[in-house]
Amino acid sequence: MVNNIFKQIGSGASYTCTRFMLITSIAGSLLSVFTLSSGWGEVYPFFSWKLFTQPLGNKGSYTEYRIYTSNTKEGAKWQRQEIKATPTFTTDEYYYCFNALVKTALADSARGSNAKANLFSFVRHVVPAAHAYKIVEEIYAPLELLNNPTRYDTLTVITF
Amino acid sequence: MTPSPLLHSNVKAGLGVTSKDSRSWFNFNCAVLALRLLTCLWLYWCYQHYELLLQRPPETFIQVNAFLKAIMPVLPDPIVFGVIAGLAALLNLLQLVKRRTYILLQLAQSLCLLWLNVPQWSYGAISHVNHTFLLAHLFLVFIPSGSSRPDKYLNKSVSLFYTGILATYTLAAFWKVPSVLYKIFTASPDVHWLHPHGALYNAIISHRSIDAVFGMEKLYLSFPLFWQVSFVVMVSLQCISIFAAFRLPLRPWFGLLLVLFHTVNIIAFKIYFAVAIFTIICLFFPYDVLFLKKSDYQPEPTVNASGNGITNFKKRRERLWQKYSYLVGLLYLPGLNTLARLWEAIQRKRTH
Repeated sequence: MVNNIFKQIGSGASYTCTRFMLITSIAGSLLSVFTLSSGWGEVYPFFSWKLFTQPLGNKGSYTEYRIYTSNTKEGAKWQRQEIKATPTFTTDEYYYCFNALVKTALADSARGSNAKANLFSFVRHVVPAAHAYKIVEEIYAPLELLNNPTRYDTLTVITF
Repeated sequence: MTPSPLLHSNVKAGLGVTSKDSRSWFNFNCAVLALRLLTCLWLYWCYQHYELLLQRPPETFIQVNAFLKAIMPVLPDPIVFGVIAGLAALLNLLQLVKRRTYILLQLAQSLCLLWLNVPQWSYGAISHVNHTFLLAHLFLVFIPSGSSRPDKYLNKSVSLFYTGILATYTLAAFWKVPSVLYKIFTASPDVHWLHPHGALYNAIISHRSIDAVFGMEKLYLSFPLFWQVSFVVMVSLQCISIFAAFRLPLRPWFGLLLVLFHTVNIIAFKIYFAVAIFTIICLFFPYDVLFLKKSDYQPEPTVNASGNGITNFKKRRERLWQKYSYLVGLLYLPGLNTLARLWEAIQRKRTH
């Protein structure tokens, strides 16, 4: 038994098995291309083929989401919350998690799933202690942002 | 006694093994040890990160696909996570101390690492952070490092190991070529990577999307050609990076290139792949330069034959390699020998 655990593979078998792993890995990454485009998600997330295939904003405009909060009961004076690291989320994790939750909530809003509730949990977690929250879509043209960073359109997409 | 990969007895060439092969095997063995040291740090970091995950609202734990949902429906209990992390650490430490890779132990360790990584990819998105690190452990399973003298099969396994790592870069770059060409040939109004504003767009948005201050626009507006040329150079090098898997002289160069690539991405585009950088350094560092003397390996058989395909360039390249080692590594870039062969054929025709 102990001998089996401390077993090393022979060199010929090593080559055959490693080759098999490589072929499987490439097949898995190819499969991911199809499963991603079919909406089943990435089945083999180790070969990320499609990272930055095009520059971000290549269509000339870009859409982002932000949390807006208000401390008054009437919901006036909305304040934009920047994406930044929190005690439990790094900036990147905040960005990816928040975006995924918003997109799911927007897609599922008609079916009344708990996607919106999940998003609300996240929102209250990263920006605690506000009276009212909403999710705002911000749309901008990247080049215009260079001259004026506040030049973007806003649209409230989710209220709680 | 366990032969240590750092002991010279283990790297002395067996029959039919060239010095390149024995140096490759030596470097690979050192790389595995370095990867195991990195794994100790990774496990520590992973556990600390898990403790942060515990404080997140459980509703935000959302798997992106059915497979992940099946293996981890909720964030695991601290005891379970601790036991698996401890097991991974034990397996790693055991193989580090023994300076060998055992198939069953490494398989178990890889599965533990994959499982430990799942929570990080379970908050609505797969970040791809750690993918190089995990792939390296997976591809290591069937390579018995530390045990044998290098033979041609083991060295082929090592080449396949590096192929597995480099293929991720090759494929990611290769994917960009048809998509950019498609945009150009269809005269698309979209901004692509060869558009003068391609890098600028990406930089503006990657900063803005995490509300980071972007103050480098002059760098992009004044030198658009620099970014276009950089894109072509980078994509070409990334596409051919897979050749470094089979050519030892190229390996440290491509390691350096990939580290540079990640560093530029961090500075210019805020794309962070820190674990990948450390993994690349561990795997591609030329350890033989530090730890081996020339007397430790058999000299390469000198290329004197003038048969088909043996060009003067190839002979000269081998001589330079023996003398200057990795300093002339870039002479092993793919295509150079083909060009030399063409050049020599033209020269022969002229003289005839």
